[in-house]
Formats: sequence, structure tokens, C-alpha cells
Amino acid sequence: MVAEERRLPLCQDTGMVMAEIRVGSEVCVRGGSLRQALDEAIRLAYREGYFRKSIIADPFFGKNTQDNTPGVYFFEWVEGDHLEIDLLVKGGGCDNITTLGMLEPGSTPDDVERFILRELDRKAALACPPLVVGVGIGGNGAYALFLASRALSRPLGSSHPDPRYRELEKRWCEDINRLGIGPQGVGGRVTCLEVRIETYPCHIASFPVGLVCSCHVFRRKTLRW
Amino acid sequence: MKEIWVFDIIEEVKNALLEINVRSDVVLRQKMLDALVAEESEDEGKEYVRPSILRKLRGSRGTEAPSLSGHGDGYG
Repeated sequence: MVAEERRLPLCQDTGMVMAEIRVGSEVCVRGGSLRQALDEAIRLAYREGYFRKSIIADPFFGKNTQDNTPGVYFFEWVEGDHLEIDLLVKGGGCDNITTLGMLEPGSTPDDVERFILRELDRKAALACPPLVVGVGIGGNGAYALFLASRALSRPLGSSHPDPRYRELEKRWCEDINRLGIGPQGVGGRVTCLEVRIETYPCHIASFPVGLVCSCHVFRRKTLRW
Repeated sequence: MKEIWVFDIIEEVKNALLEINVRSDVVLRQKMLDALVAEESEDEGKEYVRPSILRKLRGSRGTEAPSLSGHGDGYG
């Protein structure tokens, strides 16, 4: 409420912008590239909002880019005449607990849950809980992490269309809350606001599980043209 | 073919970033309020929730499950 009224950022870490872009086959973007447009939007927003600029040009040798660009972009080409952009802004704290687990082929939902509980028991307190937890299962290692990020793009309160996964999301959320880590990691009942699961077919010899979380300042929005 | 100009994209994405950095959505606010109520109303429950989940964390074989395929402690 205070942030909204005074136009102050919800958190001092105004994060790195991630966008998943779905471009319809009947769409023509005029006047420049989408990547340039998104970077320009970030540049303008972070300047106008006086948000902290947190991006360095190179992990080892770079200096701050001074405008919070570039963002991280995933492009997908789909059928139709629309353009959709899922924006997600994540700070460094919650991104630092991102984990990839290559579990044994044939792992069960309980195995995956134990992996998630073990990781969050060690790390959730570092990521400003209560968390929104994205779980990507399947694909390959790289894609499992992408799926987990994509899971965070769903609006809050939305549930998985498959009732089997809806049940797992509910159960895993309840069990994460039983870890007792609590808001900001100081102990309590609410460590997790929601769990979201995304899946994809995978190789018979692999069982990748990506775990990507957002802190309690869950900053996302979907735009559509 | 539908034409979309980058100027429109820049404007809308900029406005969205300005908004989500200062304003949490309605559902999130409600969830945080619910969390606050849960924390304040059931203090006595804090002690017993954790041991029950730790049993689950260890797994049915009493080991620190899950087993992982050749990746040591499971970090990818």
C-alpha cells in the first residue's frame, strides 16, 4: 500500500527482467526488433521509476550497465495473430536458490517432493519467503529449469488443468509450509504461497527436475496484443 | 497479417514494469493477509509441524532421500 501510494519499489532489489514471448505466425512486428524494444522498455521504466540498476555486462569483468538491461528473453513461435509477453521480475535472493536435480529414472511424486523439501529446507530462508515455487519436471536439464520459470508466469490463484497435478501442487505446498521456515525465514507456518508444476516428455534414462522460486514480492504480468 | 509497432510494445512493457515494481496484485495481497492471520492465530502449532515433515524428508528408508543418479549431493 505504501509503495503504491508513494510510487516506491516493493523491494530495493528491483531485479532482472525475464520475459517469455509468444509470437503468432500471423504477426508482423514493425519498427525494430522485439529484443531491442524490450530492452528499451526496461531502460525507460528503470530510469523513470528510479529503480535500482542491478545488471553487470559480464559476470567476471563487467561493469554495471546503468540501465538494468539486458533482460532475459525466451521466444516461442506459435499459431495465430497475437503477441503475448509474460513479464517476470526476480531479485537475486530468490534466484540464488534455483536448483536442478537429475533424479533417477522412474522417480515417483514422493521422490520429487523429497528433493523439493530437502532443497527448500536448506535454502528457502535465503529467498525472502513466503515463496511461489515453480517446479519443472521432464524435458532435459536445461528445459526443466525453463519449465520451472514458466510455471511462475501463471497468475496467482490459478491451478493446474490436470487434477492429478493440481492435487500434487496442493499437497507439496502444505508440506513445504510444514517445514516451519516461515515469513522471511524467522519461523512460522507460511513458507510457501503456491506451488506450480509444469511437465514435458523426457528421455527414459533421465528424470530432470527444475526448482525455481519467486520471493513474496511476486512481480509478474502478462501483456497481449 | 497483424502489424504491431515496437513503439506500442515499448510503451506497454514500460508501464507494466513501472506497475509491478510498486504495486502487488490483489490476489497476492489477500494471500499475504491470510498468511498474517495464520501466523498470528496459531502460534502453539509452530513446534509440532516440523518434526512430522522431517520424517517425510528422510524418506521411507530412513536415508536422506531422494537418491540421485551420479550427481553426488544432487546439485545439478
